[in-house]
Amino acid sequence: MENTVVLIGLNHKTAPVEMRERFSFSPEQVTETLNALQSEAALVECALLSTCNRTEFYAVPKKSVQHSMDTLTKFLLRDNGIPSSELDKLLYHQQGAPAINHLFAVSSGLDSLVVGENQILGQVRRAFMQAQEASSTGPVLERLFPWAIRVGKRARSETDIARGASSVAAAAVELAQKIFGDMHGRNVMLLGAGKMGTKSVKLLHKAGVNEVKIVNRTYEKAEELAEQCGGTAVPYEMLDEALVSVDILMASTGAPHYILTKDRISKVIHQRRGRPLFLIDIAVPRDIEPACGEVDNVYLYNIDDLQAVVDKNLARRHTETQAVLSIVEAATQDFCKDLDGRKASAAIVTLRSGFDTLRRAELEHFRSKKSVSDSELQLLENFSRRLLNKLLHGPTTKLRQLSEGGATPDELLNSLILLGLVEDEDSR
Amino acid sequence: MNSALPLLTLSAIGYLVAGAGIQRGIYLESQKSFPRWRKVLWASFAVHTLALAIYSLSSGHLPIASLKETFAPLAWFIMLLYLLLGERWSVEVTGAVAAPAAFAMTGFSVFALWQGHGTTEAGPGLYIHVFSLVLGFASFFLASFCAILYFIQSKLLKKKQIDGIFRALPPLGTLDLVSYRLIWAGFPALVIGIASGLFIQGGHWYWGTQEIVVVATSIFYTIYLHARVAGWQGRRLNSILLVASIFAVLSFLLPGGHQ
Repeated sequence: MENTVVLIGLNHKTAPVEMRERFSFSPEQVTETLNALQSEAALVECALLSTCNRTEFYAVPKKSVQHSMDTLTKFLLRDNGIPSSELDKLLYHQQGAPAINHLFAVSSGLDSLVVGENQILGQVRRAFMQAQEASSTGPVLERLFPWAIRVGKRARSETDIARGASSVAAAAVELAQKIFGDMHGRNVMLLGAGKMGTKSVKLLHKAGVNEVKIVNRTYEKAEELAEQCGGTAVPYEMLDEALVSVDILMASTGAPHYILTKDRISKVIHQRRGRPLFLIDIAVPRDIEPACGEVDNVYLYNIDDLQAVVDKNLARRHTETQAVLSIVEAATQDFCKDLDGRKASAAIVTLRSGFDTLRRAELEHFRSKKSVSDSELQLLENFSRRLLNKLLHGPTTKLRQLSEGGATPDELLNSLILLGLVEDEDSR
Repeated sequence: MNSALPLLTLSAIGYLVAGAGIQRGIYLESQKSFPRWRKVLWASFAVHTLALAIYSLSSGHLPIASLKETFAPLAWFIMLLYLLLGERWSVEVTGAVAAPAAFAMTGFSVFALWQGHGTTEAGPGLYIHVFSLVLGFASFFLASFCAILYFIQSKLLKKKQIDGIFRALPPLGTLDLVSYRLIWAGFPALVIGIASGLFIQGGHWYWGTQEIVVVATSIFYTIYLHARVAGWQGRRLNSILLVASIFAVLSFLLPGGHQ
């Protein structure tokens, strides 16, 4: 069983958030759980992926799959008081190729709430690192997780599964980049102290904007926000003046009327010497008069426009799922083949090392009996090596075929013992 | 010369095919095929270079005897600038306009050369005059392609049509910056071209239609550069650039008094 991957877990598709939070593990709890699992006899390797949308155990069982599943279920349940009758609805179990396929789908973002989101790739990487730190990985998981990360990267680079913003804040940043290109040296103004505005400003900061100006009717609140965002508070009365040097304005006040009118913007734009101005109005009721968008070099987007951008991006991502599925399927097949090859390789190493020991012993015996020169010895060395390769070619090929046919490492070794090609450890 | 014409024709076809390929990539919102079309453009450019070399060796001078012939080196310079700078400056999509334009210019030149090539006493002064102007105009034309894309992108942003070609087109800021750089690079070449022309003519300025248009072209580009340096940007500035480009095209097509 030592080369089979098993999976047990729950995610946003099988469990509502009030259930998921009861199964969630903090980073410290992940390490504790992995350490505790190592003392269990049922498992050889184990990793735990716990995010806000999923909790999944990936493990390699020692003997019985059922025993390992029971152990993992016990650890998954902890003392969260969920009756076992409810578990069947919440949990899914996979074994072998389907389990591998599931992890690859997860890392590709296919199984995410927002299809193609990038965060999951980092979370898979972190789960692997935590397992490594807890020394709960072995030859199988050490290959499986890096493979999954590669599949995730491939899906994102070869398809459009992760293309386009998937949130309103990210859509605002994406549009700003489409207007200004390089965001370095750009100035942003946040008008009002709305949550969404603050979030977008933080994203713009990340994208490299130069300066953030915060304008609010209450100057103290602007100062407070400026401290949080790393910006500068500007008095409300100086709004027009400040607008001259701003490239992006994000409005999210609670005002019941338009704050920026077409006339006001037209005056500002003249002083700006035609430099584009990106106005983002995420307030409801709106802060910016829609006619402002008619002014030359002004690009106005409200909350509905940004949501439309997000919707289009997500629709496009969904059309890419088939292409990503093909990548995941192919990767699963490749990984299974690689795993089978590794099963055979242990038996092949045993077979070859046994015969090679014999060859070396015979060479040594020959050298002690006869006086041979170095060049003659080299000839014999080459000859014996070639002969051994030719003799073992058939059995090696057969072992690989048996492995691909589903034989376990133990069965492969037993077949060699039966044929007398290697010695049984018990008989030594 | 005879062997140069099929090669020129071949390069023109290559430009057309690659241009159509880039346009298709833009339409499909995928730039994955761009490296392939870049290879086609490089190959066509190599054939174009070979054709110009063969022509020069067989006729004893480069195809600059008439303005029609000069379209071949003009297309060559446009493609050279595009291939060297397009990818580096993130405006590879301008190939959708630059490559078909190179096709049209090369094709026009083939047509002119087919009817018989002119003779010219090509001294170093004439070469400096013609090649400075050709390099300058190649730079201006490429800048005007960026300005065209600027207007398209700006309109799409205004109309909130954020699908389709919007995704393939570069940001407004990039297009604006690349136009500026190209005009900056092309303007000294234009000045050298005009000055060397004046020198060849012994300091006499012939006021033909073409010469008037060239002067108007240089005035428009001067206004553009002056405004840009003063901090102006946006649609109005790009409009000046497009008007200047129309004059630049006319200066190539109109008959000159000094030929």
